[in-house]
Amino acid sequence: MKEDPSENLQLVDQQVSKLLHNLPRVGSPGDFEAKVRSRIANSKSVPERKWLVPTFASASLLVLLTFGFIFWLSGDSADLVASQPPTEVVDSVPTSPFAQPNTVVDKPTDPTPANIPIAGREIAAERRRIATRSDVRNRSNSRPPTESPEDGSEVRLLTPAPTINANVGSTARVLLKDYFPMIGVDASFENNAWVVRNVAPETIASRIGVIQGDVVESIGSVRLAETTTLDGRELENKITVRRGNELKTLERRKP
Amino acid sequence: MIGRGRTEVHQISVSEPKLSDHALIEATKNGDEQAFSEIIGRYRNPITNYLYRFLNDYEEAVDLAQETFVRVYFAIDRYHTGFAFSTYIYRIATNLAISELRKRKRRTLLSLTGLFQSDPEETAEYQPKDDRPLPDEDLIESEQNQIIARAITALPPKYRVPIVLRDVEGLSYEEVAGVMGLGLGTTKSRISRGRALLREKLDGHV
Repeated sequence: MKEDPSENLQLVDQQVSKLLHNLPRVGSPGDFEAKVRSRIANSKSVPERKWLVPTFASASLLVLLTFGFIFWLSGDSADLVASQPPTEVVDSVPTSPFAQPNTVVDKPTDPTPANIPIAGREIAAERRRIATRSDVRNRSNSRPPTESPEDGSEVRLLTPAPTINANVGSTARVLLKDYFPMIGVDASFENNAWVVRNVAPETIASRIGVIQGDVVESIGSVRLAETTTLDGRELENKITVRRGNELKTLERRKP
Repeated sequence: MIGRGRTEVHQISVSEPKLSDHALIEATKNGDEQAFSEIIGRYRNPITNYLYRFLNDYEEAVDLAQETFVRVYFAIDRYHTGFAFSTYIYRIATNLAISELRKRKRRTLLSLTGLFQSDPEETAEYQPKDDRPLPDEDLIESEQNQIIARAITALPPKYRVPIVLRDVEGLSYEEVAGVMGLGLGTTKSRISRGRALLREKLDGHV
């Protein structure tokens, strides 16, 4: 008669189980309870420090928030410092070529942190850096920058005064890097050309159609180099830009 | 008046010899230290034996058994009487034992890492075999028992826990399943698999 292998295994399993069950049992030492009591007493005497975790977490959060706030404020105050009105008023500054008489002055938004969404802060800072027409007009009239103009519109000077090669008489020259902000353009000299990096909305440049990426070839009849300066005679209502492979002349439409 | 009444109840409860575990727990919750002593008296030996068979180290087993009762004491307010107390206390002991195994593993790893470039024979000195004599002369086991104990220790914890609970401690399948937090089928399967592994390890000795 054949033996069933599974039955055989079952028997061995039972044998193993029995062996385990017959292992001598180990008892606990006599001072077992005393030691348990001692441990309990020791644990009770140690003050619970569960509060440490939430306290530490909230303290860390507070510190982080404080630093974040300070960082945010410092960034914003740097912008505000940059937007302080100039203390020096130049006697004679050429008027922006695109300035229109009796135009309503662009009124920059209040640069307080609460009014500027974080995502737009960079743009707002950029806008504050760019000079408005009203700055130029104020300076040309030698008026204090915060004074109201004759047309009653409010003027706020928010950009630093451009470095102007003040010249004797009425032929003061202005550097290109200072000229561009006057018309609302943020340009940089790259690869031997003035490239428009940004155009502020509601400025002369944006109205005549200058866009980001344009290469400014000439202003009026003056071809531009890095150190080109312009004087009042050269500031005409015409800018020539290279847009891709195309050369475009942009000028203010006369009413 | 209320306190006095309560004390009286506790005195009666402790003097009652066949009080259930749950009743003792309730009494302990109410501040009856004698009730807790009764719990210790009931479970100190089974828990010590279980941990000893699990770890094959008597001193460690006693230490963890004491720690088990400390844990029970401090968690007694959170204990739900919907579960058997034996299941609860074995589960605590099991968790402590598994933690101890993990610590041992880490220690071994560290010692091996620290002695990476040393002589392997020297390394062996840092992991000595636990040859300490057991406290009671009666506990000196026969050679066969030692072989079985080593075979149990060689099992992976997932099989060692149910095997020791079922075959050494004599818990029912349901109780083992409760301790492990597994289904009955899985528990039976693990016990069966554990026995098979033991059989392989004890081949020639049994």
